[in-house]
Amino acid sequence: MSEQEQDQDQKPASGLQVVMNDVMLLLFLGVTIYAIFYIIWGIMEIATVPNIPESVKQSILK
Amino acid sequence: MFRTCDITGFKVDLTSEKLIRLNAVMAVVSLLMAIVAAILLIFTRYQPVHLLDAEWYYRLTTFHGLNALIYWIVFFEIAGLYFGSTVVLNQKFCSPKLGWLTFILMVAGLILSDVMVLMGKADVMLTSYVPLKAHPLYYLGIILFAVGALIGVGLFFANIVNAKRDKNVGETLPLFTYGLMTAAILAVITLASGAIIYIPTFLWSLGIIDSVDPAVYKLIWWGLGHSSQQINVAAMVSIWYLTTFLAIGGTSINERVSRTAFFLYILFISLASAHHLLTDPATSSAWKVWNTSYAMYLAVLASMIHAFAVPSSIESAQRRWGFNKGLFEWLAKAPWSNPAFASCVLAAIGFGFIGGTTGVIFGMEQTNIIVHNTIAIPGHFKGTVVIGTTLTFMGITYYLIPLIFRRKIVAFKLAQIQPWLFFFGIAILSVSMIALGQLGVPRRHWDSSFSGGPFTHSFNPAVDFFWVLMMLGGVLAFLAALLWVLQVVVSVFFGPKVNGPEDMQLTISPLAPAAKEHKGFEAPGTLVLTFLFLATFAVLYFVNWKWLAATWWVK
Repeated sequence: MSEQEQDQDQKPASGLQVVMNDVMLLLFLGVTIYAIFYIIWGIMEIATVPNIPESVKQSILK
Repeated sequence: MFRTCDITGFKVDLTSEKLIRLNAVMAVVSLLMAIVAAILLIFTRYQPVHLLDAEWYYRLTTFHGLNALIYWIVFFEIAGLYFGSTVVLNQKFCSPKLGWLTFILMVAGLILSDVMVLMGKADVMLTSYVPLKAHPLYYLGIILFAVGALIGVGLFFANIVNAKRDKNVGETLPLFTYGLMTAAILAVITLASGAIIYIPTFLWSLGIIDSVDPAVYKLIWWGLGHSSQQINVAAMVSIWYLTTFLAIGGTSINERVSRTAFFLYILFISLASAHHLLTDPATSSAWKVWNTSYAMYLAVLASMIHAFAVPSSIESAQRRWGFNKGLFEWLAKAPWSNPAFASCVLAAIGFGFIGGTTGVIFGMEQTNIIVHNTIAIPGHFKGTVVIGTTLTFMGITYYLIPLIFRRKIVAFKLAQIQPWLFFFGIAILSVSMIALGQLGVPRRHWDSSFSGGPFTHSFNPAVDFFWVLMMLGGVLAFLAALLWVLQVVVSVFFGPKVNGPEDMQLTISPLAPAAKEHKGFEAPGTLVLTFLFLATFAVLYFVNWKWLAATWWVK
């Protein structure tokens, strides 16, 4: 362990430091942010795209 | 059961050592398969030779992508995760049985999917966009590999938890392991995305479900495809810090800031997957702009922090060792004869100047359109995954051979040249591909001349020059990669045994002496280099906007 790390360990940890040292909390945050902003929001947008009108679909498939 | 390393003093768990060795060997095998496919593809795209027929071109493009982007990288990363969570922390491997299961699943997955591709049952490219359909065993192979890798990542977390319980580490992990922890979290995101999309696709290929929505498939697949490359970034940067420590006893001048940069990766870097959907109509501009700009730039900020922190840690240590003259004596007197150090510095330069700049520019909704679906995109990949990650992994292997395999590096002089050859080869290849893409040459295309097709197109004559350059760069990089593979194989299986520190060909440096009081910047040379990088980026940025403005005549 470097001197810098020893110094850091002796100081009281800030709120951000506590979060950054908690491996499981970091795992939770990483997965959740990705799931909400990328996956869920993205799928919601795709799911709300209206279906192609049947007449247009048939004219393309001809 | 442990052995105490007579070079580093680490307590090395023997099961962990075996698993690290085997995963590293499989990584090298995967890279060999990938580069053999790569050279055949280069001589197919280089039109005067046009080596393979169309069927084999697409087959080997799939094979190359799978082995280069997934198997080589993930096998090496699993080896790295075991190393970072056991050897570095003097920790026992938590579950040898699960370690073996992980390895068996990953190898079975590799064999199954590669065999299916070579048999012509999965000519679907790496992305395998539905409704392109491969043989079910291809999807099963990838699922087995992903599940195996996910268990491996779980073992990393278990080792960390045990190390904290056993007081082998304090509240704060060493910076190298912290970076690997970041990579492991990104791996969970990546592999979970892979499982979410490949399991229904596997069922669809079996006929159990009717269809998989192509837009949803593409969205979730890129959560695997792009995020997997973000695992590389975190692992690669961690290795840069480790190599600086090993080679010259350098540490980050502010570890809290470096950790904060990794923290930003954890929160935001996976959102960059949205780059691949910039021209898709199904998602809104709000979704695209949030994910690829606002959120992603926080991850870019993290990369900028590392881009300053890594060279400044080198400069700071070198200055403390006495290389204090002018702005750049620390750089001129750096240990360039250490192939691991040279690899990492060259990787950082290539990653920043080629991969990083193009990544931000091609990742913007506006300027992306200039090069979308052109060969510039794989050119950008070469600047990130190959010149960055692959060269870094090659470099750290020069430390793994004596420390983990306990063998001397055979033909060490060649090892000192190899990083430079590979760097220049890939840099030429990458820049040529980017130039070709800017001139409109498409990617994933067997015949750029469109011979026999209903449409013809005359490219700018400069294209011929860049094709030749690309071929030459590719050949140089292939030879350098082959040299590396041969050296690793010969050293590991036939090299003289390492009996102690006297057999180490690479430096293991003590910690650089404490800093004397100084005025002004601790790393002024790095500051100058950072401004040079920013100036390069600004020029490229505005050139691309200029190109975009010239695309249409506005009257």
